[in-house]
This record gives sequence, C-alpha cells and structure tokens, in this order.
Amino acid sequence: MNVWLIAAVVAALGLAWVNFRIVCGQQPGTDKMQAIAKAIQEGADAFLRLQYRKIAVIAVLILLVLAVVVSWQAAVAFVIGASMSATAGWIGMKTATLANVRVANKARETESLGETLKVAFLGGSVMGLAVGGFALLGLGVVVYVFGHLMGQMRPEMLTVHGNWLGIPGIRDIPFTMTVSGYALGCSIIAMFNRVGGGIYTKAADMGADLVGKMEAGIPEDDPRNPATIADNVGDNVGDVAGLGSDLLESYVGAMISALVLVSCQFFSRAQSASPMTAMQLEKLIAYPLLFGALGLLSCVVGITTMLVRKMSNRPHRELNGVTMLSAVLTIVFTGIAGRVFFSGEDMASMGFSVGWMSPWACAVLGILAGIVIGKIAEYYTSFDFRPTKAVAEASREGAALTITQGMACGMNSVIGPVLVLGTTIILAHTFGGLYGVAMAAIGMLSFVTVTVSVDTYGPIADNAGGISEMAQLNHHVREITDNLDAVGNTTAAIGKGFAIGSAALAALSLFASYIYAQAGDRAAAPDFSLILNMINTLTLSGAVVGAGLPYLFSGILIEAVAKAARRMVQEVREQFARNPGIMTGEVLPNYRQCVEISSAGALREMKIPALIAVLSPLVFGFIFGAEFVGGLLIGTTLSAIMLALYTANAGGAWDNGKKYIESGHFGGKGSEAHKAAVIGDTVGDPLKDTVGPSLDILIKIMSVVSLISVSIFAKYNIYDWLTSFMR
Amino acid sequence: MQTNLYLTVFPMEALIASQLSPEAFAAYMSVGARKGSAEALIFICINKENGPFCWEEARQKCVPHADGRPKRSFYLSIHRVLENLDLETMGDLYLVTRDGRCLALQRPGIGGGECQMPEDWDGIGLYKELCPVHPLVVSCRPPGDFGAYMTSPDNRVSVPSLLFADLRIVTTPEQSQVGSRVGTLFDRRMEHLKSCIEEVQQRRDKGAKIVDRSYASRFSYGLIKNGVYLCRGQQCLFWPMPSRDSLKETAYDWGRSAEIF
Repeated sequence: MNVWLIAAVVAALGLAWVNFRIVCGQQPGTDKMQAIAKAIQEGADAFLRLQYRKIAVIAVLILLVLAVVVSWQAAVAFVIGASMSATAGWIGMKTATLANVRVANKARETESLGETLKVAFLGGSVMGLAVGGFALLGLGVVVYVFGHLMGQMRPEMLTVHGNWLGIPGIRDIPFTMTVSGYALGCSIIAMFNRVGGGIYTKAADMGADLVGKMEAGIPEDDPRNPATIADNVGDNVGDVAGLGSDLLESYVGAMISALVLVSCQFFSRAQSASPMTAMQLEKLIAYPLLFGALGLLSCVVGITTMLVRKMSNRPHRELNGVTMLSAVLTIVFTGIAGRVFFSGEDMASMGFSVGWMSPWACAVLGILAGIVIGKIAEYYTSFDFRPTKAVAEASREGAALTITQGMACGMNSVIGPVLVLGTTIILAHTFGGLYGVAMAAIGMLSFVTVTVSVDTYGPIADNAGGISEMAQLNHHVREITDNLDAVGNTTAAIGKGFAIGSAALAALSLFASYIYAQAGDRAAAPDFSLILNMINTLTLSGAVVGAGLPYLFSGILIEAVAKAARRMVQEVREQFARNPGIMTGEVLPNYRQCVEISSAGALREMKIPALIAVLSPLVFGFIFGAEFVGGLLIGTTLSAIMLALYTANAGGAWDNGKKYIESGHFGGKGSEAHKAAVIGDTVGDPLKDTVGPSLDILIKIMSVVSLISVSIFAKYNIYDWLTSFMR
Repeated sequence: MQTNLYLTVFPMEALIASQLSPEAFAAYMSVGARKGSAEALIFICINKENGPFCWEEARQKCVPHADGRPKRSFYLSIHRVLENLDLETMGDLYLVTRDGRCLALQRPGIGGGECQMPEDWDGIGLYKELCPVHPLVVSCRPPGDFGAYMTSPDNRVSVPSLLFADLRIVTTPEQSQVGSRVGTLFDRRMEHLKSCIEEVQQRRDKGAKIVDRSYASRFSYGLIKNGVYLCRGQQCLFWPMPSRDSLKETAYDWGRSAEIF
C-alpha cells in the first residue's frame, strides 16, 4: 500500500510541477495583457496572504485547544491538514493567475479552440493534481507517522484512552482523534477559503454588474469598470483557491470517515463473538488509502493522455472524456487491487456480503452515484434541458416569476440526488455495512483530481475572457474564451453535485463514529448497538435546532455578501460620478480601491459564519450534552444537504437561464426578459457560489468537531449538572 | 482648433457647435459630463454652415477655454433644426451607445434605388421615427415611399423632414431564436404588433399605423435592419447599417456595448 501511495503522490505532484513549468513557459502576450494580469495576480496574492494571516490566528487557538484537551498528535495532524489545504489552494491560485493571461494569448496567437483549451486545462490540472497529491501526502504522513511509527494503529492502542493531562472522564481512541485533527485542519482552511473567497468574488461580481452593466450600460469586463479587476481577482480566490480547498477537504473527509469508523468498529467488536482480527483491521484501514492512491494514479494517466494528444474544438467532449477515462481506470485498477488485497480473507466475518468485491462495489456505487448526481445537476442547470429553459421563459413575465420559477427548479432538483443518495446508502450498507457507506463516499471522490482540474479550468477561462476584453483583443479571441467559459459553468454545477453527495455519505460514517465515541467504554460492551434514539427529547430537540442551523449560517453568509456588495456598488458609483473621464476612456478607474473594498469586506465578514460551524457543536454540547449534539448533527446534515442542492441548482438555473436569453431567445439582450433574468442571476449568485459550497463544509466541520469533543461534553454539560442537581 | 457642427437627432433635436472630434463629442454627450445621464445618442455631422442659425455667435463663442481645453458644446438651436438644414450638408451619422461608444455610418449619397426598395422587402416595414417625432409605426410602403409619404404636404399629418430607421420584424417565438436579438420588440408588444401589421395589410390605403407613440427608451440599435433614412419629399438620404459579420470584424466593442454581441 505504501508503495502505491508514494508512487501516486510523487506522480501527481511531479506532473503538477511539469504542468506548472509548461504553463509558465507559454508566452504571456502583449504589454497591456501582462499589466492587466499583473494587477489580478497582485490582488489575489494580497488577499490570500491577508486571509491566511487571519486564519493563522484562529488556527493557533484551535491548535492549543487540541493540544491541551485532546493530544499533541491531533494538534500536529491539524497543522499538517491545514498546511496541505492552504498549500494546495495557494499553488492552484498562483497557477491560475499565471495561466489566465497565457490562455488569452494562446487564443490570440493560434485562434484555435483546442490549443487554447489545452493551456486552460494545463493550468487547471495543477490545482487538481495539487489537491489529490497534497491530500494523500498529508494523510499518508499522519497515518504512517502516528499510526505505524508511533503505534496508534496497533490493536492494543485502538481502545479508549484517558486524556494525557488526566482530566477525568475525557476518553477517546487516540488514532481517531489524530486523523480527525488532520481532517479538521483541512476543513478550517476550506471553510475560510470558501466563505472568504465566496464573499470576495460575489461582492466584486455584484458591484461590477449592478453599477457597471446595469446602470452605466458597459459590457462585462470592460476596462472602464472600476470593479472589473476585483471581479477577476474574485474568480481566483473564490472559484480556484476556495474550490480547491473545498474539494480537498471533501476528499479527506471521506477518507478519514472510513479510518475512524474502522477504528471504532475494531474497538466495539473486540469483546464480541466475532472480533475483527489485526490483519482485517490493517486491511480495512489500508484499502481506502490504496483506493485513493489508485484513483490518483488513474487521474494522472487521464490528464497525461489528454495533454499529449491533439485536442478537438469541442471542449465539453474533451473534458467529459478525461473525466470518464479517469473514472473507468479507477474502477478497473481498484477492482484488480481489491481482488488481490482481500484474497483469502474471510469477508463474511467482516460484515461484507459479496466477498472481496464488497468494498470495491460500494466505491463503484459511489462513483456511479456521483455521476448520476452530476447528470441530475446538469439536467436542472443546463439550458439544453427543460427546467432552465422554463426559468428563462418565466422571465418574459418579469423578475418575480423568474425568481419563483428558479426557486421551483431548485426545489424540484433536490429529490433526485436525495433518492440516489438514499439508494446508494442502502445498497452500500447491504454490501459492506457502514464501512461500505464510507467507501461509497471515497469512490465518489476517488477521481477528485480530474474533477478539480475540470472545475478550475472554468475560472481560468473566465479570467482569460476578462483579460481579452480589457486588452481589447479581437473578437475571435473573445469568442474562444467565451466558448471555454460557457463549458466551465456546466462543469462547475456538476462538481458541486459531487461535493454535496460525498459530504452526505461521509457525514453518515462520521455520525456512526460519533455514536461510538459518545458511548466511550460502553461501545465495547457485548450488548452495545449503534442506535440513535429519536424519541429522546434531547435528540429530537437537537435535530430541530440542527435543521435550523444551516438557514442561520446561509442567512449570515448572504447578508455578508450583500454588505460587501453594497460597499462596492457605492464605490463604483462614486468613481463614475467623481470622474466622468473614466467612462470616456480618458482616465483609468481606481481598480485598487475596489480590490481593497472586496478584500476588507471578505476578511471582516468571513469570521462569524466560520466560527458558527466550529463553535455550535461545542456550545450546544456543553449546554445540552451529547444526545442533543447527536440530534444536532442529524438535523444539520439533512437540512444542509437539501439547502446545498437547492441553492446550487437554483443558482445555476438562474445563471444559465440568463445565458439562454443572451444567446438570443425571448428577445435576447436588452429585452424585458433579459432584465428579469439578470435580476434572477443576481439573486442566485451568492446562493450558488457562496452558500451552497460552504454548506457541505459546515456538515463536515460540525461532524469532526463533535467527534473530537464528544467525550468531553458527554461528561461535562450544564443540562446533566442541572438535572442531577434537581434530583 | 477646428469647430465642428453636429445635429443631434435622438433623443433630442439640437444643432451644436463643438471643438471635439465626433468620437470625443459622442463620449462627452453620452457619458462625459457630470450632469449627464447614460443614454443612447444619434447625431449627424454637418459639413457646412447653412440655414437660419446664429453662425456668427457660434464662431465667436465656440473657442477654446482659457486653459486651452476645447469648447465642448455651444447650442445653436434646440427646435426645428432638421427641417432647416440642407440635405447636401449632411455627413456621416453616428450611433452612440449609452456607455459612450460610437459607430459611424457612412453617407453614400442622395436618392438611389436602395433607398427606395430594399432587396429583402417583403411588403411590410417597421419604422422607428427618430426625428423630429418619435413613434414606432408599421407601413406597407417601402422606406423611400414611406419617407416621401410622411413628408408630403398632401398628407394631413406630415413633417417637413423625417429621420427614421427600418427595424427587423419579429412576430413569432421562432423568429426570436438565436441571433435575432430583438430586444424590447419581443413579447408583450408582439400581439399588438401583429394586429397593427394585419390592419395595414388589410387597408392598403392606410399609409402607416402607430404601434407605439413613444418608443424612445426601448429602442435599441440591434433592431435596425437596413439602415437609417432621412427623407424630405422625394429626396432621400440613406445611411446603411453594416452587417453583423462586418460589425464583428470592424466594430466589435461597439456591438458589445449595443448588446448586439
């Protein structure tokens, strides 16, 4: 397993380096293009530096708490996780800001869609490979150093241990805490990158659109718009760094959910009639990592294949091709590996119903479920299909009906993925128990490297379009970048489907681990069963409150975007009013001021939503205890999944409904329908790009924080103290 | 500094002397003044002083500012200007978008067949009158005939001169498919437009039927079909609108601002 893991990480990071060098080797274009690209680079660099500085303060606090209350190993793993996530985000964003201008220049020099697509995908692949490579590198280091070298994975260590400071009542399985610490590190960075980047990008986007496009009548990315550089910076910090950290966190979340679950099951079954053997334990822990490694290698092969051959002028087909190739290779390689890995094992005694195939079949189910969820997302958000066309058509009757129809589309879109997830959970559980559910989550994200590469290519193409527009390159160039950007919109919606689906499956495994952890020593009792009592008033109340939490979280996020956007609108209006020379093209607008407004707004507003995610399980846990938090997790998970699907798909439908009209339908640009569709798109922007993606991180942060802290608040909480006092 | 003469015909009629070039004048008038609002503008370059206007005063007052900046605008008249200017002196016509980008339409000459009967004439014309009146009308007369009819003293409701553009007609959802960019003409006004067309088709004696009394704010350049016409009796000036392909090659930025691309 170690060999495969090392080979996969080396291959992924090596190819990322090669691709980075190839991107850097491309010509960056004219002086004007380079000046624009430099402004975008500087804005993105400055924001991410400031953001990481702010996160560092909070990360140090969490680190100290983990070190004191849990263990120094968990604290170190947390640092590794945060470093991996931050590094992947930084590299991806850096590459994207170098690639954007080179993509525009490639289109300018060659006027070939295929050649330009190749450079854009090269840029995106650096982010994808960094995500896959760093996620596995960090996890491999944590498992190897703490699990193998320091012995946390030894059977005798996979039991409930007391706190290292001897605080009475705090007992947990050390290995589960260490890998959870790693996941928490990734989640914290992902949350800040997603929330901060999301606020930044949408504030800039809305400011640029509402004043520049709507009030002043200037086209998208026009250099006269003061917010246009901020808008392009936002694409990089939100849609590149934010997305990369988000999917890295999802990938790690899925992985650690399996490791934690196996550890808990090993402890729980130790005294049972059919205990798990040490060999079985080792294999069940190793298989997710092996699966991840082979998935990563498959993606390396897929990406290399795409880059060495001549590309056609059909970007959608090319991108689908590389995704499908990677998925098929993953299925084949992991199938062979599963056959070899589990040969001779008594699979039935491990709770697997279809022999050696069980874990693999569950992962394949996850892959298929991911593809189906992606297709459902595409159905509801692409203007090739009826729902988005209906949103566009409703725009003929005004903005109110655009919004109503978009909401209906978003709500209708929830049931399909939920049915797929439900079916996947049932089938995976039938094949491989709860471990099978965790494997389904891993399967769904096993080719995350390609998913991220494809998703990152979108904002790079979008930025390239912006640079072409600002540098006033000829229309052929802008048509090429527009074409690439349009495909990016659909791939983004599909990517969100994968992230949400895997979050739901991983949350279920983490929840099972939470119940094991809540039980503590009792989990080893022969009569212990994994039951969540929903009739318990504490659990029920927790579920009710938990269901409300994503709404509060989303409300605060939307408010944060609105606040930052309002400041941007005021600034852009003021610049236009103060200096008419901006509109006549005689004077350059003050781009830096808008970049600073977006940056300051995002940094100011990102803290509260992120802290809600981290603190709510702790606060409720210390007030009402572990059963309440159990309900809270279930309520939050269910409600957040629905809300994430709804916001992502409604936002996508509004966006593409507008694009459908812009392509000439129902009067095209300038029509009443277009005005209504623009309003719909503006409403949907913060939903799909800020709220939706943040919700799946919320689920996992809450699950991991609860898992880490349950042994503490199960023992120390106000509710228990009050009831014992009253008795 | 040279003084140029501009006749703004849309949204207001005025004769203005200015030391700005046509492009700078376009930007100044649409977006360049603090007081100004963002709105589309159409103007014509006047090549020679003519008509009953205060030319002497214009020569005296349209001079650079003390600091050397050019005089941007000196209004000679804001009422009944078009009818008092000689058609021979009309130069290029400029279509200015609400964000200040302008497209120059070259003036080919007075009269001529293309002004009388467009190649793709199908029996019905939709005309946006630009100056001195503003309605949107349908007529079964081709542009030249329509202009002559509207400026004929024999017609009860005529004007001395009329500047108008012929627009593309969209009456079915199918026609609004990709590329048509019919903007504000689509949808709520479609049924009314159809009934107006039917009425002029049935009553051939009816010279024109008003579709919309004031179509100023909703008019967009993407609707223009063949070009802009200026008629005075049998005299007709025609500024042809470039094809979309040609616009794409030569005036892409203007096309984006005009929401054509």
